Amino acid sequence: MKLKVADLIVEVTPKYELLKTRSVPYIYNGEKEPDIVIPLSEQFFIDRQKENPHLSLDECEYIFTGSCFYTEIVKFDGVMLHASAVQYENFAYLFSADSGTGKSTHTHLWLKKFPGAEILNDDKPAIRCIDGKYYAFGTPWSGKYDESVNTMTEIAGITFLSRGEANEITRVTGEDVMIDFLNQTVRPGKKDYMISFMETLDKILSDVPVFRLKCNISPEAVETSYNAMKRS
Amino acid sequence: MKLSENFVLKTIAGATVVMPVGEAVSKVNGMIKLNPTAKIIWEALEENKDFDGILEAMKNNFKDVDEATLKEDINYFLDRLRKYEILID
Repeated sequence: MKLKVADLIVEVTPKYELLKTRSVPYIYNGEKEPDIVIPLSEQFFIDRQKENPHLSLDECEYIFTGSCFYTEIVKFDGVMLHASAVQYENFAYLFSADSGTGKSTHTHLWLKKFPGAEILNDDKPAIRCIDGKYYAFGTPWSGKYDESVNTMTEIAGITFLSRGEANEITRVTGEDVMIDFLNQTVRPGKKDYMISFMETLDKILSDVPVFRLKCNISPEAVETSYNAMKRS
Repeated sequence: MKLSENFVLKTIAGATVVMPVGEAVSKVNGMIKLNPTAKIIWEALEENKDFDGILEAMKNNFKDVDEATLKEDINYFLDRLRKYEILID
């Protein structure tokens, strides 16, 4: 079957329930040829499951098809960022950090404060540069909870988040957060993919406003990040 | 002197970085950030220059620095590259 994810036609044949369910909002019935083919077979998932006995077959399919998609997206001016992305007033706000830091907690505070805000992808949004603009996309691969919407939203900013007593945000340079970004994405292993990846990373970190946020879990944390990141 | 094929040099947001690919990923976990001197040496190596060629490139970029210091800088960086098997002799 074909899906349309991050404005790309993806051919994949889901065999298990988890991916089947998550794929539904992305089904594409048009005539376009696929940009990305995910060729993984049932045997491949069975083998991965043997190596990772803590995972179910469903989870193996979900994880490895996602990893395949996010590897191939670098050929289309795209990358994955491990982040929670919230959209509000036609812009996407991305918050990235190690698991357990509180990025999802922060974006869910946005939902409380701003009626009309929604989670675009709670764990692994795709980012693509299209005609000089940068967009975040919901995808079927959004982590543990099914919090993702099939939309394409221009990015207002990307913020690297850490915990703090008080709320404080600083606009920083792309160079300043380069290592943070590299730590929250998938680095390609093949040379031609790495070249494309580094070109895209250069564009994103040169053009998209980036910030560092120290925050607590009060509603003021949202004011701090929103006021700094919003487009005037 | 030859640079391993398993490294990619690019400028990202103004910083010059080298990323490992293929077999090198297991040897160099992470990335290497190059300062302007290292960048000149790396690019000379990419053009298959020998030691004298690298020295020439360095002289063109650092006109006020004496030759002995430049040679020392080049040797220091080449040794580091050999240590991580980035430079194959």
